[in-house]
Amino acid sequence: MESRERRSDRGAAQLSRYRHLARAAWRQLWRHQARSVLVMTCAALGVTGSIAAVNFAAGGRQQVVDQVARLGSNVIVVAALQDRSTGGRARTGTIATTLRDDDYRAIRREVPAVVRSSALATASLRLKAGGLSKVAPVVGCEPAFFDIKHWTIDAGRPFDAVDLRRSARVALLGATVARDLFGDASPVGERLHINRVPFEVIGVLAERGQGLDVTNEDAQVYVPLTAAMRRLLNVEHYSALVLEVGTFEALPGAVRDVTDLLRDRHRTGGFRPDDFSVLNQQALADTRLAASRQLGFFVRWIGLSALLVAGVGVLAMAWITVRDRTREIGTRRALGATARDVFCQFAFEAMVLATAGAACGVALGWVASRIVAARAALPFVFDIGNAALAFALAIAVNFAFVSWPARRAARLDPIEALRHA
Amino acid sequence: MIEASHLSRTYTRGDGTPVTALRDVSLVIAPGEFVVVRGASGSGKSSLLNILGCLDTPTSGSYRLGGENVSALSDNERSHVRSKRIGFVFQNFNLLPRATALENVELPALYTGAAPDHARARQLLEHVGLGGRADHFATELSGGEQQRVAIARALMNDPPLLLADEPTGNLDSAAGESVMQLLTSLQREGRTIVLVTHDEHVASFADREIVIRDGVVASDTRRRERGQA
Repeated sequence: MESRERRSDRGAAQLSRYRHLARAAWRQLWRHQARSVLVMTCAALGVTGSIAAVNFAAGGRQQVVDQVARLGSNVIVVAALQDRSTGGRARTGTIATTLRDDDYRAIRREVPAVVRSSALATASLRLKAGGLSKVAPVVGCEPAFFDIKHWTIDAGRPFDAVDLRRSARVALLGATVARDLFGDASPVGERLHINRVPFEVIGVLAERGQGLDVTNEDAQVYVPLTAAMRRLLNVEHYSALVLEVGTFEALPGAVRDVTDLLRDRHRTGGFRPDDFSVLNQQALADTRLAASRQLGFFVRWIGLSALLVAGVGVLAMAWITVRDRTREIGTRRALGATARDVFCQFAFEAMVLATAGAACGVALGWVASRIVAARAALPFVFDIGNAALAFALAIAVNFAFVSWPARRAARLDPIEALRHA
Repeated sequence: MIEASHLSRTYTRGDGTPVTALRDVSLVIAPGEFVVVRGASGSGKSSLLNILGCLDTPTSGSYRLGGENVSALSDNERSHVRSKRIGFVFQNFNLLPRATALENVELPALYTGAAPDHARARQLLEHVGLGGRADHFATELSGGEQQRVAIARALMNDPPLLLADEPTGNLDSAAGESVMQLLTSLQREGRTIVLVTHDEHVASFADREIVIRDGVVASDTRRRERGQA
């Protein structure tokens, strides 16, 4: 009983000892302001750098994810093959003419997983409005195209089934085209010549930025599919089919069904190469995501090395502090400080600064991530988990680095330390 | 108070050759004595002081402080002995420059685990005649004042033994005189004082003078009965 009491007494004494040591260390920090600020800055910049780097990579990833979400991840694109080689020679820029309406109908009939679709007929044509003229891709599509793309109209109205049936000469402009041809004025209701055929602008589409593929959808003009095929291009084939599948799970099956169906109809596969390609958004996204994962991997290393470099800075300052205060260490030892008291004092002093610095670093990291995202035109991402990880790692790294000089301080021979100049 | 028997201390030099600093030194110091240890530099007096102050352990021999054998204690245990039973006064004061006089005096209390007793620290500063300087930084004090703060610091944990290593070595004669007066008055309060010096005048304040030469006690003279200054 008695011994337990004594032990708990000793525990309480130990606790109050640490409290007073902490308070004394705090005063020391306050009085060595320049050094304290340097240590904090060092620790802060390490965390800032690693957070900004990781969030930059996360922003890039987020951009890909956003692009996929915009088109929907359960969309299949069947494209008529370009550059089809005949007799071993590549005929560049030519589109296969074999993707036709009966193929389209067959797909809609025999692949029930496809819930919405639009055929596309695309060509680069000359646009003229007022005195201005430019060449831009003109996309003939069905009204469902905009639904599949989750694309809204900024001004005016979309075209509908009636426009399609009538091959109406109406056009929707991408935001960039609208700006190029009409400036700040509203183009709705204005006249637009496409290959000298007069069209009426009925709307402007919302701005989207770069898509997953390289095409800039804002720089295109959209007209009813029938108008494009009959009035502009005079063709009977499509350049592509956009097929939306009901669920993401049904996507691989639908891709297989569409491929098999078209091979069967075109008698390709086996000896003859396909004259079409079936892409899905996920495959494109996977490629991009793999690249961004690689970037993420590098960026993590960069972040870690930023923390290590900052840790080395903190180490250097702690080392200098121990060297400068050698006599003080000797004095404290003579006055009754144990080796452990000395270790705790130096570790505590450095860790208070490093932790405060790391906390500032998290705040600065938020600001830096914002700035980097704005500069790189990427979505702003602040990953709390990553920030917490960077903070925790910074503390672990700094403690590991600081405990070295602190242990050195604790192991100094008091007699030698007192003799130190 | 101090019973040292057959103390020897041998150091190993960088090239591996042993150097004997103390050779078979035995001495007994009674509680309340004011003893001066004199000797040229390199005579071994600092080695003796380090052992008496529990900063070092003898290579052979035994050292009993207040009846307890402290020559075989661990580093940690010796820290506690220093904290509770020994007060140090150094030649170059060794005050923390960025701390006030009061904080310097309270420093030893940090290592006892007890809450710092500000009233006691202030009272000690009054006692050494620096009550008005409590909140001055160490660097703002004169040498004599700094040494008196250091003495107040040495008394903070109320140790029975004071060890002073050339306490007047860095002071002018007036300041040195007042520091010696202060130490004498502490002896009268019942503390045991061991002071290392090579200054004859300083030695004259003590009751007993031990001269160390080449690591052995060359002479041990009692000048007067205890406390009859």
